[in-house]
Amino acid sequence: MKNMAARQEAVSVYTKKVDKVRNKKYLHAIPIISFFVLWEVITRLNINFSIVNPVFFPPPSLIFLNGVELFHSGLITDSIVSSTIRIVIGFAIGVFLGVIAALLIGRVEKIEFWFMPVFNMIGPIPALALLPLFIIWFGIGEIPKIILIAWTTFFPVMTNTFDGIKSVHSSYIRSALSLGANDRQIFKKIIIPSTLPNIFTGCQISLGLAFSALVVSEMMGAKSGLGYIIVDARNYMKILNMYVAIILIGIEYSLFSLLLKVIEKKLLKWRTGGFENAVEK
Amino acid sequence: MALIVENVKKFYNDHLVLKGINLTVQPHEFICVLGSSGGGKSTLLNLIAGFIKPDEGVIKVNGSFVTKPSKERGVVFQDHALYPWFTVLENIAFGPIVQGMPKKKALEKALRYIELIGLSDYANHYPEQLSGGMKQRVGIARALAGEPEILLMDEPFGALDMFTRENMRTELIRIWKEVKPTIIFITHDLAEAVYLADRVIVMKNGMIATELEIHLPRPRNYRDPAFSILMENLEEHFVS
Ligand SMILES: Nc1ncnc2c1ncn2[C@@H]1O[C@H](COP(=O)(O)OP(=O)(O)O)[C@@H](O)[C@H]1O
Ligand SMILES: [Mg+2]
Repeated sequence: MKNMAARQEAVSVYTKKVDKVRNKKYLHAIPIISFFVLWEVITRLNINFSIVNPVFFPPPSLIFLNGVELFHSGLITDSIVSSTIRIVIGFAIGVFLGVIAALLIGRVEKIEFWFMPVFNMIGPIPALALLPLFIIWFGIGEIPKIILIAWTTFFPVMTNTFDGIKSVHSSYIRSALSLGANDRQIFKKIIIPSTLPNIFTGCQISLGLAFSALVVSEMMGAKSGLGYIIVDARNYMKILNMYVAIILIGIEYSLFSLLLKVIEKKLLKWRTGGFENAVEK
Repeated sequence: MALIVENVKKFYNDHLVLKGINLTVQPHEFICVLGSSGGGKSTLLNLIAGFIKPDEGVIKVNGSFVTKPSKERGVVFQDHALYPWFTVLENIAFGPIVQGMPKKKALEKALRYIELIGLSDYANHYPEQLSGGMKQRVGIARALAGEPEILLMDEPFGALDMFTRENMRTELIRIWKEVKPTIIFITHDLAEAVYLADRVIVMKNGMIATELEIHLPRPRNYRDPAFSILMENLEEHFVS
């Protein structure tokens, strides 16, 4: 009897916890909704009283209607498709090369000696400064855009991965050696998994920079994409289009960032640390 | 299977940490190296493990020189050094797998070692989810599953609470009797050394101060008068 009651209690505690988690997810929407409501109210008041030119500060409802219109014209789908292709290809290449480079640099001291200072020098140069040069070198097609995105993705991924490799616990490597592991096995079973969290940190940092690179590259010498909508809107004073594109860029970035987090959670399910798990609420 | 340490010296930044160590360990022997902190115990263990190299002297196992880590010398670390991305079972199967055993057989073997340490219910847990004592038992099982001839343990119970520590000592003796590896166990705890060892090596200032064979039958009892006499014996070497 006592046992049953205890178990029931355990179950109810568990379901309560699940409820709490659900509630929390639901709660995340409230600040966002409030933001748009406030924006709507302020801009509507501005339309009535014309404190600043209302054309420059449209309410979200008008932006939304304009978005629907653009969607029916096909412009939005086309732009999202071209932007997504660029970011996916560029980002994937950047991550791939960044990880490979870090592994090589971490493995061969000579490579570290010769490459690290150079990378540290050219890494921080902003994408915006490089794009015109890339256009001169590679023309105005897809190539310079993808190279620019890959380039900006590369550095944070590389440096974070490299930091991860350098900080692998030496007792992990020692124990593996004492169990008979060879270099290749240590690399695959110890160094890579213990560096994975750093790789993801690098990816998250890179993603933001890659989006900037995407938008910049679409604002210079492009005929499609979300960034292109923005310059086109500026040239023809289509302010509503500009807002639509800006919001879509925000949404697309958030979705990619979320996707990365989901993958990270899947791959790093062994990780239980962090502030979230430090104290039960 | 005999381990021989011959006149081993080790410097760290011009400071002579080991001043000529001579030691012979017989197969299946349980050795405790006892000494206060900074006396060079870990340095000696790392040398035997092959993690570092002596500046003078040699270390031999079965007649061949120790130059690098090898699966014949398993190590249990004070911080357990379990791989957090592997489950308990995968951690224990690591040795057999890297030594070339097919994965399925390795996992079966790991299951036997999990049974040996009494953690069958935790096979699929991650190390983070275990208590300190459990982690240390997994560390021992992982080292044993690699089938070393010599097991090197550097203060493995040092971070555990008193009760867990006593349980672990009993467990270790049970496991040792079943698997019979040679064990070199480092500790700064007199009672622990007398409880565990066939022979206690006392280290002081980078030298072996004395050796003491313990002939008490196992399981040993801390309250046994003979036990106390041995402890007093050792204690004298410490103060002097
Ligand atoms: N990697 C190292 N570099 C420099 N000095 C060290 C290193 N490892 C140990 N020592 C020194 O060697 C001495 C013995 O250390 P150690 O073998 O760890 O002693 P114990 O394990 O008995 O506490 C200490 O004085 C310590 O500072
Ligand atoms: Mg030590």
